Amino acid sequence: MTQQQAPTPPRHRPKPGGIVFAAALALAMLGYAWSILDSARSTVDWLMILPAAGVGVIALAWAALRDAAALRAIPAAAKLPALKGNARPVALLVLICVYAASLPFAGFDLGTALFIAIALLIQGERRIWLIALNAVLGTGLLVWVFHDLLMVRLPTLLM
Amino acid sequence: MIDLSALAGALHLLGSDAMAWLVVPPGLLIGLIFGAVPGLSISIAMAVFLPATLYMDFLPAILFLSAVFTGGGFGGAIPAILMNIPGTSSAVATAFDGYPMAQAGRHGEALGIGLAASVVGTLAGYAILLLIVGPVAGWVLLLGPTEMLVVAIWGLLLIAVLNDASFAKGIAAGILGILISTVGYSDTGLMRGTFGSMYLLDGIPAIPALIGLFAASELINMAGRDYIVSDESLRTLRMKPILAGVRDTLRRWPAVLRGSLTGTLIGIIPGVGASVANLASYAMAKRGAEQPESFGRGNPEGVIASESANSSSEGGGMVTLLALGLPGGAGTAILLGAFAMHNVTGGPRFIADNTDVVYAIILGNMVQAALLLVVGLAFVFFASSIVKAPLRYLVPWVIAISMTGAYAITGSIVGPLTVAGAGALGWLMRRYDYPVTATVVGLLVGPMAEGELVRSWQISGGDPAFVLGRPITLCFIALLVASVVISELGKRRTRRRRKAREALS
Repeated sequence: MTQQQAPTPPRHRPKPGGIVFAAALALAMLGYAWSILDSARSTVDWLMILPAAGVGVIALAWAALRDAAALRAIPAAAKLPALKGNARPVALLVLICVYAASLPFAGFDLGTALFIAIALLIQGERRIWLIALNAVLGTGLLVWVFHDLLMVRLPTLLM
Repeated sequence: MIDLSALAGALHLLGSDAMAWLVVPPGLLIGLIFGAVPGLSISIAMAVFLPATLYMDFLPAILFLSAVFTGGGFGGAIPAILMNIPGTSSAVATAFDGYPMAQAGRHGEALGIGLAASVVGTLAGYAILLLIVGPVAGWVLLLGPTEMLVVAIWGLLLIAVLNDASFAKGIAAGILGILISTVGYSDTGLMRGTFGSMYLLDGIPAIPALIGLFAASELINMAGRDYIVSDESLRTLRMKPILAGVRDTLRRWPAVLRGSLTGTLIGIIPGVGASVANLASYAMAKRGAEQPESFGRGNPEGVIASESANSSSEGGGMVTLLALGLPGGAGTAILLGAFAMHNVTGGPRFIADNTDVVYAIILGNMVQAALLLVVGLAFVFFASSIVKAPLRYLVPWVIAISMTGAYAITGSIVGPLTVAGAGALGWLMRRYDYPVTATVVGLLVGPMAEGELVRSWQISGGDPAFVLGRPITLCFIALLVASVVISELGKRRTRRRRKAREALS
């Protein structure tokens, strides 16, 4: 029984945005707990949410404090976020959100075709015929499988 | 324990009905496909094909649906290993070590390990079921809401064991999952966190959220990369490593048996099932390992623990279905629907009056497990060709399929929007070292935890001393505390050793 020797695990390097993220999550939890407390009619309405939110906020505060302490130990130049490597993931993230939000209007046929084409462009594909082939034929196949074969009532615009 | 005359009757039933065997291979293949496509699930497959069983006799109908169940149980492991996307919630822990193995070019071995662990797990689960189906019916009835609440909390505290970042971030992420799971109408009719949207009245759908947190966030991170396996020489499609993985699993039989036993026991508890079984088994394997730090970095025992447990929990879930008529999860709920379609009601009376049929179902499922090895080997061989696909094509396609699958699950735009929102949240969580797994665990066990907490509160009248009169609850609490303390001490010891090694080098 051979088992590969595990490599030394990478140390998690804290990022400045982590403190903002923790603060935003804590605010969201507090806001949610407050809205529940405001509308609760009996104990069972807040029985789990209030203590859970309390524990969550404490855990987030603790995590943010540890991140802040770790950040102080890092030289100032190393704290700058590496924006260059994030361009494609951020562009894809925005595209996914726009794709999901546009589905009721564009339908799964047009929406998916546009999503595939733009996602391929973001991913670095420059051959137009391949982009068109993927967008048109692929989308057609996907919509046919779900709409006609699996009988899922997908909203569509053209098909 | 085993009624021999009923066993002979079961063998006669299985031997005299060819249909009972003809439906099994297509059922396994359907399960494998639906389990392997992110966005589709075993329950969708079973629901889609449930009407087809109307024209079958009772035994072939149940064997067909349970073949879908068995195939899907392993199918979820395929995208978990190849793309870090658990096809089903029961394959969450499979991704922890399966994906690092795939990234290292050991995808064939990981798939073989997952397949063999699933086959042995299913066999073990049904073998245990054969022995305990009668006596366990009374035992399950002893579990009340306080016991179930402790089980749910234990599931949540696994976060602390599984979390690789920090305890605080693990807890925060788990709580986030629980709070997300409470959105929508509560059992008491209170509208929570819906912002006035009618789409959110039913809450945030768990499966699309799971797809977003795991799949979309990982796919976003893959943007700009060429292939899943960066080393070109490792992007191969061969049967040999898959068979080597199968052999390796059989050599590690104690790990397989431990996972199978854990899965069966957890599967017996109604409402818990494979989603918790794979995580609990993984945590136990990690805690008991000589090198716990190797888990999460491509340790085959992590894949074995998860796959043997989620497959054996199927047998455990059948215990409550057959003995009490209670479904343990979505899959067994559809099986219960098939029971009803054939005018059959599960429960102690069903077992007593139709022991031969019960044994035939169990034996049929054991043969299915063996058939899964054959069908599964061919399936994973072709599925592993995904490592040759360029990511620039794979990423948009998997997202598009997931979005469409999410729509199919929810029947509304809430599914795709949840995938997108959870994808963005998951991406931010990964970026700032929050474990998305903890949020998924919170999301899955949150509704169960809240339901049991409310029931415990109602029957105890809000008096915490009520727990002192529940010996099983006290035992569970003692086990929970012991497991958390032991794993925390283990983590601290590992950290001290690592620091000492770093100081020396």
